Amino acid sequence: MAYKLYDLSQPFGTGTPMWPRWLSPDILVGKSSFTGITPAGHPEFPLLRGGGIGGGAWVGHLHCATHIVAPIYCMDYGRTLEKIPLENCYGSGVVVDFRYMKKWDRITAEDLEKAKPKIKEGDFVVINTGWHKYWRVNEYVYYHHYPGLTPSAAEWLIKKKVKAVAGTFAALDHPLAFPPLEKTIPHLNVEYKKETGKDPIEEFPDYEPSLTMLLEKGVVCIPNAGADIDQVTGKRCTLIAFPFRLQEADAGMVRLVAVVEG
Amino acid sequence: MATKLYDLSNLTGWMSPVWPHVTITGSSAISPDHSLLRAREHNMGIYKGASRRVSIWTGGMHCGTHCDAPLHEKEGGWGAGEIPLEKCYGTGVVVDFRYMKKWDRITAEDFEKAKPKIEEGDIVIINTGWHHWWWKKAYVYHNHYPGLVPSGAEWLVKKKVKAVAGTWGSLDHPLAYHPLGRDYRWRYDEYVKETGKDPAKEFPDYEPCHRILCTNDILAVENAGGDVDQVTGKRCTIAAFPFRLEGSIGHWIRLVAIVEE
Repeated sequence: MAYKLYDLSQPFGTGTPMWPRWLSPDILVGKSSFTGITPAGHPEFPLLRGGGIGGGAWVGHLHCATHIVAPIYCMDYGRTLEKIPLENCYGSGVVVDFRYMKKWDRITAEDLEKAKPKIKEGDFVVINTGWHKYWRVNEYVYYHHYPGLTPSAAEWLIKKKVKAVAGTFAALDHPLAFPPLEKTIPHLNVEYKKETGKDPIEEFPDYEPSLTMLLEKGVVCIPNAGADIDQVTGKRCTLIAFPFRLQEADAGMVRLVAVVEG
Repeated sequence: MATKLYDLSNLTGWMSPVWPHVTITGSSAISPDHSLLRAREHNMGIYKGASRRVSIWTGGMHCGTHCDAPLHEKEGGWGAGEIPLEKCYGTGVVVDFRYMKKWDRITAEDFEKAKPKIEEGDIVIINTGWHHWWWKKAYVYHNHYPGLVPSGAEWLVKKKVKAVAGTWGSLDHPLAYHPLGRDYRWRYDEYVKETGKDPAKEFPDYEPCHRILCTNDILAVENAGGDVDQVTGKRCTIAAFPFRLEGSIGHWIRLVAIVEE
């Protein structure tokens, strides 16, 4: 049977956009340690010939670009990355279209209820907010303004027994759901108050409630989806997101792929 | 029909075995042996008792079950994140070479008579049985595995396979690290003592199979394993998607067999 593969993962590398106040990984290129001392292809030193990262090292956390957040991130008793069952990272699902949403819009149970195609029990759900177009274009807008999930949506997804939730959002929670915002993301606190006249802590009193709820139920959570997602939006397809098998990791970069038959 | 997933990846961690590389510069850059996952609590003014665990990985990602991208050998070639997805997914076979012993050579002939038959465009998984030594006996795992030799690699290129994975410490035979006597003295001595032959004459090249596979844009996977025995001898769908890091010569992947039962 013919199929086509679509890449729903964002490219990343040195200087990749990160969540506010999180450090970018240091990516040490190993190339120079070999080819720097002898010309490439020298018969006595025929070591690295291509160059590039990988001969080097990564110093940083693994919550980077399109990644899976493991339950242990939120809970001491949660699963670490390598213990997430593969079955939860693979299966039939839908890519729903929420691209009509605007800055700070809230994704609610109602939005998911009327989403097309219909979300079925056990689905791998991918949410397209349209915000992936700001990846590496406008980091501020990307991380501070995206339409985000609210607790009612997380509850709805849990009731539907979905196996995974990925989205073109920078976190599973709404950007304002990180109280006390005046400490965690102070500039966003100022911006929200100025624009709306409301206090974010009253509207978003809980810290990352959606992610916490989803991880407690073992739902695989994948922020920063994107890339060619627009090409499969509105479709039902097979979704794949197998994390690397790193012992004790609390997150890991992942390739999110849609397989479309036909 | 039910779909079953089999994990063909080895558990990797800060204490799992790494390629025993002796570097000229003194930095263990290819397979850093000082990889570390440092867990720490993350409290950015979080209230209501919430805290987050965010670990820092320090070290290479070219270890455990990982891919070698064309860029490993080919200047300007695809890095792991740039390999077209089509190369990382598709029909494949898991061939049984578990009859092989210490230092055996995997040749064109072995592939020719492999069962199930290797077809054009396949993803080929080679089970040498050596994954049983993973995290049990690092010395045997990295120094004695049956390894691919150039005739085998060339056969795979001719067959136009998409990707090759194996339960081996490297794409190349452990002795194909010329000059072995300088960089892997212990291996050199052991081979001379056991066989009376000179590795420099029998394996005069450095990583020839890496060069053959990578320059032909074949995705290659090292340190496969996991539950590979459960699918050995089968034809199935294989997924081996590297994460989308730019300019990487190779990094961790989850190698998975998707079997319709």
